[in-house]
Amino acid sequence: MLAPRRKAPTLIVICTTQESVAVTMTLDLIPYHKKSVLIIEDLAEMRSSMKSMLANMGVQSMETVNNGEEALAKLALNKYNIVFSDYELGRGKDGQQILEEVRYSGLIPASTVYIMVTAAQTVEMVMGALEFEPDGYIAKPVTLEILRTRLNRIIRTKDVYRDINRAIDKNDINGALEACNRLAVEKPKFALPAYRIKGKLLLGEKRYEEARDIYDTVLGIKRVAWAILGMGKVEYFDGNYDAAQELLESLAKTKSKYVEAFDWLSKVLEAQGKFKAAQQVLQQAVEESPKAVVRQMELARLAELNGDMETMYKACRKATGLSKNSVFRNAENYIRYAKSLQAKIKHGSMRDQKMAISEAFSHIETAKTEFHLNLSQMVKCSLVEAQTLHNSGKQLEGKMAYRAVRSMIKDETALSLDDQLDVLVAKLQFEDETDSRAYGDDLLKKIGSNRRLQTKYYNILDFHLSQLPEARMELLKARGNELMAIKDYEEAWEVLHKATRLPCADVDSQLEALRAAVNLYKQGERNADLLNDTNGLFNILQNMDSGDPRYPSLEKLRLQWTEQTPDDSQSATG
Amino acid sequence: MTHNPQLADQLLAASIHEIKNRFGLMFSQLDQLLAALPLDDTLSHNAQQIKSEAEFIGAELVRVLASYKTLEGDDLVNSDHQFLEDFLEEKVARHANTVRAHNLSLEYDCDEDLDGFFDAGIVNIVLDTAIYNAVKEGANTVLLSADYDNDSNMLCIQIHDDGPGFPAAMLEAALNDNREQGKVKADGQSTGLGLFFAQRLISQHQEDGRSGRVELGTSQRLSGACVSLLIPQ
Repeated sequence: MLAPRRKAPTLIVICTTQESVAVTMTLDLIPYHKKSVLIIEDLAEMRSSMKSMLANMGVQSMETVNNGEEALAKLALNKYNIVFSDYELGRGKDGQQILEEVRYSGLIPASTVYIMVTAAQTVEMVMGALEFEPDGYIAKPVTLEILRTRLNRIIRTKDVYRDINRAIDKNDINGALEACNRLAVEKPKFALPAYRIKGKLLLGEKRYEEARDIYDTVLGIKRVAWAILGMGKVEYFDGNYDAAQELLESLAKTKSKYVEAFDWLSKVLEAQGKFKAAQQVLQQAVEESPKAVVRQMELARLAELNGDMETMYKACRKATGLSKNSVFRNAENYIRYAKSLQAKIKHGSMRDQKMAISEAFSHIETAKTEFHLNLSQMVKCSLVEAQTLHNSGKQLEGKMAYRAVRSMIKDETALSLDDQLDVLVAKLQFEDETDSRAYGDDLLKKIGSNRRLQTKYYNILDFHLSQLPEARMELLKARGNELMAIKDYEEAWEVLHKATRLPCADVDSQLEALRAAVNLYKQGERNADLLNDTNGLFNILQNMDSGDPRYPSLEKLRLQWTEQTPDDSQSATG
Repeated sequence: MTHNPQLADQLLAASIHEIKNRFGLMFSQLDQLLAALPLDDTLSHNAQQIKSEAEFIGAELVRVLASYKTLEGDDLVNSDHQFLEDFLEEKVARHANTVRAHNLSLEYDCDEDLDGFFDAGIVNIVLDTAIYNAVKEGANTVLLSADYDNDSNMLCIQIHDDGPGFPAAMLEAALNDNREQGKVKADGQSTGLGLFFAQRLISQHQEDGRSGRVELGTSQRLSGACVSLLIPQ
């Protein structure tokens, strides 16, 4: 506990049967007549009710808007002392999105009081948004008593942080850090919140060691969620991924309202090369809070990496809708959206195809005309245009468009390896198979040990070979062996298990998959699906001839498996 | 028909959740409607009572849902840093309609520097239960107080009233004893049942092997009952 506790209590009468005594003297000192207020509220009755209550409290300058777009326009033009934003705003942006955008683009100074008006059941959600949090919330239904009490309190608390916010507004980070220290010493009650701001500022400045000190101190006193999250970030930036994962998982498990913990957990998993797990974590976060646009874009990017076209499509669609008229709108998302539609254009029903084609062209058009594209984006955009033409039956136009892109790329080294992977996708479609595969092999050499790019490469080829089971089998086996060699048994199992489900699955692939499973179990992995799938594979191989040269390997694996799963592997021991 | 108590429970919980949300919407409409009507003093008092009853039902549904989740074994606790003065001040303001409808005097008293760690949602539910119980028992004054006990490292939030106080039998029964659940029910005392669940909710606050608890007693500050919430820090 940081705050000292004085024993002499002060009696404050806040509410009696006479309304006139509803506030204490000190509270009346807030000069509401000098405050300018913006109310963001979609319901007309609520707008007028808020206005009359605020007028009752002395506010003279008030403006109202009924949606997020108008709110952002107003906030860009005018300065307000207090902003009330409803959380649920009907069809358009919700309160959280407005706040996300406002904070991201620095549209309001740190000194403005930003208050979210929310239904009681969403309070946790609002205050759980650690990164883009309001100064306070008022839970509905809002009565005059509630508004007065909460607003006075929020303004007085905000005033405690005045020096810090002034320094932040002047971009004087050291000044803000000093102000945090002063506050913690002068008003010990606010030491924890001061440390919280300090940690955030230090992380923003990439001063990770100092941030670590802060979070260490706080966690030594109490395991508060924001400090666990902060420490998770420090560990991530320091490259201590295991430590970061442990912290963030504990937060994600117990405090599901802290959706931001999922975002960082996903980053940590990605940094460790666990791309599927990273995507799953983000999908959970998206279910929890589907309107955060940056999260949807991240999900689309990860789904593309994992070759999960359906998720990529859904996330792109969501992100495009959410980023309409916002600072988060970007060319990258439109290009990715067009890419994600290719599966529908190729394999969808007639109606789906027609819609997907027109959609894809419209996104390509938007990317080209409404953004200033750099070379990489230009190449990506033109490649997806060529693919859309080709996949929609206009092979000749597609090929010509592809040639135009090739001529655009004079120097291949000007493209990143990511971009070159995009070129590979198009090459596989438009050029001779042998040449394209040779280009792919070269690219794979350049990729070296970069796990993210390796994964992307194999997913591209896996998708390309989807109609050729034999070639696909060779590819999966090769990838599986590579992963086994670097002891990534989790990913190896994923890949090899996929191979065993192909119609041309052979004993070698089944044995290799079993090897991955047994090693995964040795590492401590336990789950029912893995257990069932592994037992299933042992069952398939139970009639192997004892004269088969691979028989000893199978027996060895079976023995190891029985040791690992003494209680539940009866079927494996056959 | 197969007997499926689990499904029946889920059905009830989902339904109560829906009722709670719809009720919240209805209440805010009602509030606006009442505000727009020209009412004389008597009608105005009736309107206060309607609002107060509506708030009671809303709070009751929230409480039932939370209690249901504790029976399901869900750990609800989301402890956060709270300033007690802010917390109690808002609690009092939230009960403005209770105050007006029942001519109640509702006050709070705590050190302005007092802070603590607890789940605001849970403590809100328990405070509501205790305040409504006090009103039901005919109390005219309710005092919320908060203090911190250095020796036990516990935060203590108390609800004092000037009502008749708890019956002796209830003071003797240990609330944290599971066997007492049946007894509370058998007596048909909804007050007891409410406090039984309050105990379950508060006990989810755990710290270094210590659990939160609810204690019933006689108020040292007012003439009636005192409910104490003890939350480990």
